[in-house]
Amino acid sequence: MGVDKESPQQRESGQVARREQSDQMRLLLIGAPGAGKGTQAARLAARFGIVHISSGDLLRRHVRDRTSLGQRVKSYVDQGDLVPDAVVMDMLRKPVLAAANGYVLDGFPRTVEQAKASYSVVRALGAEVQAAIHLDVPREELVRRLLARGRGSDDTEAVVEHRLRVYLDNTVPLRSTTQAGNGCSPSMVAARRMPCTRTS
Amino acid sequence: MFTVDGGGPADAVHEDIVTRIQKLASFSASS
Repeated sequence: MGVDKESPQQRESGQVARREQSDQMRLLLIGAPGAGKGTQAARLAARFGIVHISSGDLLRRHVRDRTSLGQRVKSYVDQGDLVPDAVVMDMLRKPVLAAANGYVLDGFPRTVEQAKASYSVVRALGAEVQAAIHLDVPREELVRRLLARGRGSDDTEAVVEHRLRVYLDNTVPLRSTTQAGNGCSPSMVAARRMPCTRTS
Repeated sequence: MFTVDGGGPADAVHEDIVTRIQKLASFSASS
């Protein structure tokens, strides 16, 4: 009956759909604890109609639900340390692949190792990131915001300082790596279609 | 990767990010 045969209109429609799919917005938000990644990610998700994937929220959900993964990461979170890269990668794989219309991911990658590992994974899955956005906030403002959150004993001044120190030790090298050379990223933040920029 | 000043009000930070993204998108479309 020929019902499976693609008409010119259908073929054109399919081409448009594939083109739109390749234009899905895939963003990363990078910044210190307290920089506003969650706030901005939520707004970007609403603005562009994409999914907000928060690595922190996912980790906390696993801890709250006392999953095997959650129990493994609880000791790291309690100390303000970073969760091991492999655990975060496994946790993010499913939601990233499920985000058919694109996504904004906050809180990942946080380390150079995460960036290197995630690059090969997301590229193989056809889910390359198009742009990474670094939220730059003065240290004193970060401390103020984190203390103001008042999440109990987790956010004493000593823990806040520790969290910021962990961030500086791990994420700042990542930023240097991604801004090497002409400003274009050699790793996962390299835009497949969008240009890299170095802005102040 | 681009950097935005995240120390200001959330609304202003959001608009700054959107502007940067749109510039990247328009540059990409024209190249």
